[in-house]
Order: sequence, then structure tokens, then C-alpha cells
Amino acid sequence: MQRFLKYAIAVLVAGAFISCDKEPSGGDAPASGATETVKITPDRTRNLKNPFSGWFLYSGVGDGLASNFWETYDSFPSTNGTVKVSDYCTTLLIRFKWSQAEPEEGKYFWTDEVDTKEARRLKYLIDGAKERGLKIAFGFSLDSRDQHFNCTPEYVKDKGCKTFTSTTGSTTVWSPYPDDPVFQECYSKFIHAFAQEFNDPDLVQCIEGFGMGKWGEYHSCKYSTGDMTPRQDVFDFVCDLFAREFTKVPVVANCHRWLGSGTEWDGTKYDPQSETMVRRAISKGFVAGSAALGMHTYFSTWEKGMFTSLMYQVPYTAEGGWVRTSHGGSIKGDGYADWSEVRKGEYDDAKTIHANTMDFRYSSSVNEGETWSWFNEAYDLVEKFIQEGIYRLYPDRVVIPSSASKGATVSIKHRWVNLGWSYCPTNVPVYSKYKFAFALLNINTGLPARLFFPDDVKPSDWHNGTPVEYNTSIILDKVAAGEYTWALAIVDTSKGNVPAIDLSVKTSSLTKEGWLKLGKITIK
Amino acid sequence: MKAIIKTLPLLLLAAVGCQQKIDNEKSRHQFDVEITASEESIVLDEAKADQVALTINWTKAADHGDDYLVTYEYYIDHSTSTADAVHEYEDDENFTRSYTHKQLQTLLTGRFGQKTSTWSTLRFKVSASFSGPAVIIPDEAIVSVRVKTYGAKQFAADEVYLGGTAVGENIKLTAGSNPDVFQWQGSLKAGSLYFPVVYGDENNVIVPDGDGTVTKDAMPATVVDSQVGGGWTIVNADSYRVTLNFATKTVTIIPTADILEVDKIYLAGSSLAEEVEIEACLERRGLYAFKGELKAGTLYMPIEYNEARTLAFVPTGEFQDGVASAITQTTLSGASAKAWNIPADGTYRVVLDTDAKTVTIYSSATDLKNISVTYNNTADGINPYTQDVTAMWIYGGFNGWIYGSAEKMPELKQSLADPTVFVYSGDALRTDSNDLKVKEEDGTIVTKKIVGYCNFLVYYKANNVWAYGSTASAVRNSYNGYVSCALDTDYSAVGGQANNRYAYFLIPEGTNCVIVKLSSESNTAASVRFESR
Repeated sequence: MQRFLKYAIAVLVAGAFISCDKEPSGGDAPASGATETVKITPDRTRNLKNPFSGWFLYSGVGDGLASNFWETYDSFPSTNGTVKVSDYCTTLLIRFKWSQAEPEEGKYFWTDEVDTKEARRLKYLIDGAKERGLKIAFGFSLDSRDQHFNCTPEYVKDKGCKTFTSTTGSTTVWSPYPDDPVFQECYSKFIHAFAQEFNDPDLVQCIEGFGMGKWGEYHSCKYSTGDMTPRQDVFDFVCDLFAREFTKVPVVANCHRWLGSGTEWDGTKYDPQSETMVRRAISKGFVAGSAALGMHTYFSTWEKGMFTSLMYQVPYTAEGGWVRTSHGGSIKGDGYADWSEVRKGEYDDAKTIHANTMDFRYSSSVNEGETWSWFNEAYDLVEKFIQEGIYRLYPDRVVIPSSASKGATVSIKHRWVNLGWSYCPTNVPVYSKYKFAFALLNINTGLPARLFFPDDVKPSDWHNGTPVEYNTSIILDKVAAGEYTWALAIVDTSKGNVPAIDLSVKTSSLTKEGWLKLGKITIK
Repeated sequence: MKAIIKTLPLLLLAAVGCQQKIDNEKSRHQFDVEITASEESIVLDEAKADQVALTINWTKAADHGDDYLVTYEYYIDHSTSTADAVHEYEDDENFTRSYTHKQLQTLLTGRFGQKTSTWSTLRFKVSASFSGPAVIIPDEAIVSVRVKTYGAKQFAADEVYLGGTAVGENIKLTAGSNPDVFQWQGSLKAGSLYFPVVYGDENNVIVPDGDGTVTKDAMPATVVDSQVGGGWTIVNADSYRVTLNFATKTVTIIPTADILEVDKIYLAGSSLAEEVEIEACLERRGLYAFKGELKAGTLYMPIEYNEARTLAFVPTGEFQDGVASAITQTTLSGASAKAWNIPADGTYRVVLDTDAKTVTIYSSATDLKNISVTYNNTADGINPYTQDVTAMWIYGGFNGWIYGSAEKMPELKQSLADPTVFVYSGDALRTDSNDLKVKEEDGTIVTKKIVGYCNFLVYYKANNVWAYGSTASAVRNSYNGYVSCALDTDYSAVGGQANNRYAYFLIPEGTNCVIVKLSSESNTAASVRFESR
């Protein structure tokens, strides 16, 4: 009996520590000694410009882009008066075609040696984004179907790449077969050059991956064999290419139910291999994205199932599907009475999958398109996504020791809340550099005198509606006696441990470097 | 060992807690939040705009201990409005909100779309939700407050009367099949006329929005307090029909003799072997036309209303060929004696305009002419080719550039009242979007999706025929142009077989009627109007 009791108790003790240490609730009181309980009031409204989060403002380098793009968006009408759209965003998405980016072999439109109108627009967009504190995301495509010009550079064909033609209106265009070795060689060089410039997390938020298939969405694929034999090899090629080149910024895999296949859509059917391919991409470090939110046909059971199964494993981009200037009354087929209901439908889908980002898509009819619609037909939802959608992390309560002896082990009890439905993706490889840290700040300089990195405190574990509490033990070594300020932050370990994730707290409670100040401690 | 056994229940509790069990014990008994309003009902007062009209307070939620994070959310919604509720988080435990008269007025008339001088109900709700080791049902409390907005009185009524010295005692009115329209017919004395109305707690009166002179048209009306007074002046004692329309906020007072009520109109008299119904034209209500053979003899127009014929239109003067002539109503039995005298056998066009109260009778000598156009008929290989325009077809991206089939293209039929007018009336036109190469404001030419663009062809067999396009700039093989159109608005059109074919109109959503009016002066000029009927 005694042995059984010992065994049972041991199991329960272990279970309690393992399960409750990071789960909501409880935990033990801090170690003995003077403590201070710090309660923190959240900031629920500030637009937090955190990695892979927030509203993406769309743009492109084609002729449809207004020459006064930034001026228009800097003074934009809304039901809340005139607004500056970039104040609501984190990212400028720039979409282009490969042939626009590389008009001649080895000459790229992001360099000074190319002075095409597309190159000038790219510079205008990037400069404007920097001025407004936005990061850049890129999306591009190379398939010419439904386009009025060739989207792959001519030199690719000249080098002997096998191609197929299609007709858009009265224009005949060509596209490369993605399994052709000449194509793969040229594309690899282009992606390499592109990554040399833009594999830069200080500038770039993310890259939309692949670029292939119809509309760059990697479906309706055509291979030189006339069948689907090369599908998997091509997918592995393009996944490996992006994973190899983009090591510092996330690459988004489009979750399409016909990924890499020859099908664009087929009723309620789907190809099971698509899920396998998406998971394979994710295993190589990709994150996920979906278009067609709000469309009940194209964002349906398969798509929602995929995103539910991937929830909190990778972050998602979300892009709406309905287009206000061209879909007209078709929205009624989905049960929407008007465009404000369409926006609500997109918002609800984004909430369902816990998307990290949403979209302000571009229309050359600026005052009729999706961005106008969000600000004039669904302004409340624009703000609501910032308030309740993007990840908003803060510790609502921290119990800190206010005095201790040098070298002593103290404990800090801290509980974390995520006010947004999306999560902080520190679990994906490119964001593993972000670590939670406690700091003892020098009372005079406000700079860290000593940092502590509790390994078990992982921001990616903090999910909306489920506060997570920790009881972290800290040994006060390697620090001189004296008075310090306790502080915490999620820091970028690749940049000298500077605070890197903007916490959802009042800015007045932060140091200018971004540390959240908690209280004083005297170390004897 | 004792210590360990004492710890066991705590560990078990910890293990259970981690599974997020619903704590029914707490949920059942700890609904502690109470919300109170300083007033049950408020009449907002513009004179006290900045004074506090209402204060809402609520109490703290049950204390479930430090393991639980409590989140307070505060909402204001409206009992009938579909607008989203006001939603605030309360993170600082400030459990009170105060509102001035002006703030409540703005909330009600702005966000919740309520009318001025109207009662409605606001609901104030607090929700306290708990995040912690066990799931606890949120605690909610609601209080409702009746609020009456200030401002202009509503043109509305719960009870409607006819009053004034013209009627003596007030007469209670009731709405007919249209709840917005109250109508009364009977004798009025010379004197004043107005409408006493009761609306909620208000006694008001509907009076002229201007002076009280009675005109033949619908007269704007307004509502004022019953103490203010006012009214229309009935000059002559007579039989009148009085109509109060709450939808249009107008009053009409018409002598019964001037009322024209028509279901069908016929042509009759010795100039016809038998009665013929005169056709109602599509382009405008009140316009009727006939074209056919008449013999020398009499002609008058029996009127059918509510399946009875008691009246007829007859001229007020002699027959004048091709000239609009005034008409009047007379009893059907006496119509023959007052009829037109058609001077000779022949083909005549008869056009009745009940709005203008005129009839125009055209003989062959004065009849209206078709518009003629000359162009390169590529479909039939005839150049030059001249034709009268007797029908038109709508062409463009709005339905996928259908041409070549008169049946598959929406057709505009020629009006019997005026051969220069063409009308499409039928199903709502498709408004597909299609690629169109257009010139942007900055001069760049781009291809983009354009919704519902069209022009008007005089021949269905080809798209390269004489057509009427918009006034937008367009250059063949370079770029197209378009004019965005609104319903019920006239737009100029350009006829020809040149660049005008690439200048489109954008069909407004809901269009099921299109009227094209060609100029009788020049076959290159026209106007286009889109309507939703």
C-alpha cells in the first residue's frame, strides 16, 4: 500500500508540474522574501507593428497603379473622417511579374541599372513604405495565362525553355513548363538574386512563395509531359529553392486544394495530395496563406479544415476573394446583401482560422475598390482586427521580488494574455530568434545589466482566451549589489537582445528601448 | 507521510483544474454584476446639451481569486437598430459611464439612425468574463432606458384627422391599402384646412410648408405643434378630394371634377368600324398612341376606370392636323357630339398625353418621320448602306458582346408616339464585367475590368454598324472610353460608325428599362436614359 501511494503521488506531482507550469492557473506563491504584485493595464487599440501581423496594403508595379498611390492613401476618405491608411497597416505588399523584375537576363529592377517604369514604381513604393514605417511583402508570378503580356522574361524562352501558349482576348502569350530544366536553372538564378536583395527581415515581412501556376496561385499547372508526373518533383524543386534562399524572412505557401495540379477548381472535390504538399512545405519552414476568404465556394470545408489543423503551428495570411468593382451582384449568391456584409464575411473567415494578417487590396478605381470598401463600408472591422485580431501580448500580473541577496534564487510569477485571436509565431524557424527575457535594468541608464532567458516561456504558446502563467526561478548571479528595475521584453537575439515584439501595453510603461518596466529590486 | 496524504487532494484538484472543467458551483451562485441607470426614461433637451442626462453604474464581478483574469466588456445597443453595438473594454475598473443630452442625441440619431423627436430604447450591458483554470460562465447584466430625442418633429402620426373651418368638426381619417396615404373626398366650405395628428405623446398639426394657397399640384407639408396652427385656404366651396401622403410629405387638394382616373383608353366614333384600345407607351406614363386607318367622321376617346366607362376625352376646339390640342373630359353619352371631325380617310397617328392633357393627330402629310442613317454595312457587304432606324439593339461587354442574333440581343422597340424614341423594357440587364483597354487620368493606357459597358446598334447582324455611343473619349485600336451612368438621368449620345463605337455607357445596376431618343435634327445626336421600374 505504502509503495502504491508513493507511486501515485509521484505520478500526480510530476503531472501537476508538467501540466500546470505553463497552463492557465495556479502555481505556487513566489519564493519567500519581499515581493511586489504588479498589475498591468493593456493597450487594446494601438496598431502594433509586429512580425507577420496586421493589415497588408496591396500594390503592384503594373500600369494600373496610380501615380499618386501614397498621396491618395495618405488622405483617404472613411466613415471616421479622412485617414492615413498606412497608420492602420504593418506591411505593403508589392506584386509583380518575373518579366517586370528581370527585363533582361541578370538585370533586376531593384538595381539602379534598370530604369523601367516598373523599376521606378518599385522604388516609389519601397521608399514610401519606409517613410511610413511599413515593411514590404512581395508576391510575384510567371505564368502568362489571363495576362496581356508575357510574365516570364524572353531570355528564358531564347535559352530553349519549352513553353506553351494561351490567348488573352486577342493577345497570344506564352508560359514556361515548370519542369523544364532551362526554366528551373533560370528561375533558380532569379530567386537567388532576389533573395540576395530581400532576404532581409528589417525590410521584408514575408514572401509569397512559388510564383507558379495560374495567377501565381500554383494551380491549373501544365507540365511538359502533358500529365501530372512531374508535379511532386517540381514542388520539391521550388520548395527547396525558396527555403534555401529565404532563411531570414518567412515564405508563404498558398493553401490551395489543387496545389500543383492541373485543376483550377472542381466543385466540392479536392486533391488529397495538396494537403501533403502544404505540410511538406511547412516542414521546410514555410508559413501558410489563403485567398478567397468570404467566398463560400472557394473558402470552404477543405480550406477551413486545413487551417484548423495547422492552427498555432504556423501563422496565416488571409486574402479576401470578392472584388467590388467587378463581381457586382454576384455576392448575393453567397447571401450577402451588400459589400459591408462581404467585408464581415471575410472578417469572420479570418477570425475562424485565426489569421495573422488581412488585406487592403488595390483597385485602380481607388474610390470603389476593397480598401475603400473597408474604410467606408466596414470601418469598425478595420479597427476591430487591430484590437482583437492581431496578436496583442501582455502580462496582466507579475509578482516580482523587491529585495534579495546576490546569488539568491528568486521566483517571478507572471501571467500572459493574448488579446488577439492570432498567435505570435516564435515557433517557426525564422522567428526562433525572438526570446522572452527578464532584465535587471540599470537604475541610471535604463539599459539591461543582466538578462535572464527562461527557456520554457514561449510567446507562441499564448493564445487568445487562455492566459498562461509561469513561475520562473532566477539566480541573481553575475550582477553587482545595488538597486535595479525589473523589466521584461521579447527580444531579438540576433540583434543584441533588443526588445523586438511590441507588447500590448501603454507606451508610457515602456522604456525608450521597449522594455516593460515592472518595479524595483534591491540586491544586497 | 501525513503531509503527503494531505497534499494529495490538492494535487488531484490541480490535475482536474488543468482539464478546464466547467465550475458549475461557481457559475450557479456567483452572478454578482448589477447595472443601474440613473433614469428609467429621459426626454433629451437641446437647451441642456452639455449637461449630464444619464449615468450608468455597475458593480464588480465575483472575486474568483488571483488565478482568474476578469475582463469587463461594456455594450450599448438599440432595441430596433441593426447597427453594431457600442463596445468598450473596461480595464481600469472604472465602473461608471455618464452621457450628456447631446451625447445621447448623437448616439441615437447617428449610430443608431433614430429620428429626431422620437422615443426609443437603449440597452446598456456589462459582461464580465473569466479566464482561469476552470471555465466560469460570464456574468452579464443589462438595463434599458427609454429616451426621446430632440429636434424637428417627425412627419408621422398614430392618429390622423381632417380639421379647420372648411370641415367644421374634426373628421378622423384612415389609411387605405397604402399605409402612408390618407384620403378623403367630400364637400368643403370656404375656410381653413389642416390635419390634426397624434404621435406618441405629441399633439401636432400638419400644415402647409409655405403659404396656404391651394395649387393643383402636390403641396409640401410640415408638422408643427398644435399650438402653432396654420392651414390651407379653401377659396371656393366645392367637392374636393384631399390626400395626405406621409411618404412624400405632401398634401393634394383637387376639385373632384379635375380628377383623371384611367385604366384603359379607347378610340371610338364614326371614323372607326369598331372601338380600338389606344396603346400605352413604354417611355412615359400618361402617354398613349395609335397609328392606323381612320375614315372621315367623328373621333373621341372613352375612358375605362374600375371596369366602368362613364367619361371620354374630347377636344376643346377644332381638329388641327399635327398640332397638340387641349382636351377635356365629358360624359361618355355626350362625347359623340363634342368629338373631333376627321376630315378625310387616311392613315393617322394619334398621340394622347394625359399629363399635358393634349391630343395630337397626325395625318400622312404631317406625320413624324423615321431617322435615316448611312454607313458601311459590313455584315451584308453593302457600302454605302442607307436604312431607316426602326429598332435598336444593346451591345457590349455587359452580356459578353453578343451580336448577330436579334433574339439574343436586348432590343429597343420604336415608340408609336414618336419614331425617334426607342425603348427597352424587360428583365434587368446583365452587368458582367469584362476587360477593357482604357486611358487613365494620367494618360496611361491600361486594361482593366469594367462593369456593364454597352452602346446601341441600329442593326443586329454586326457590331461594326451605325451605333450610338457615349461622349467619352475613345480611339479605335488604341483605347476605349466610358461614361458611368446613374439611373433616371439623361446622357448625351453620339451616332456614327467611327470612334464613337468605342465610347460606352456603363449600365447602372438594376436597369430594366432603357430609353434612347434620337435627335430629329441630326442623326449623330441622341440621348440615353437608364431606368429601374
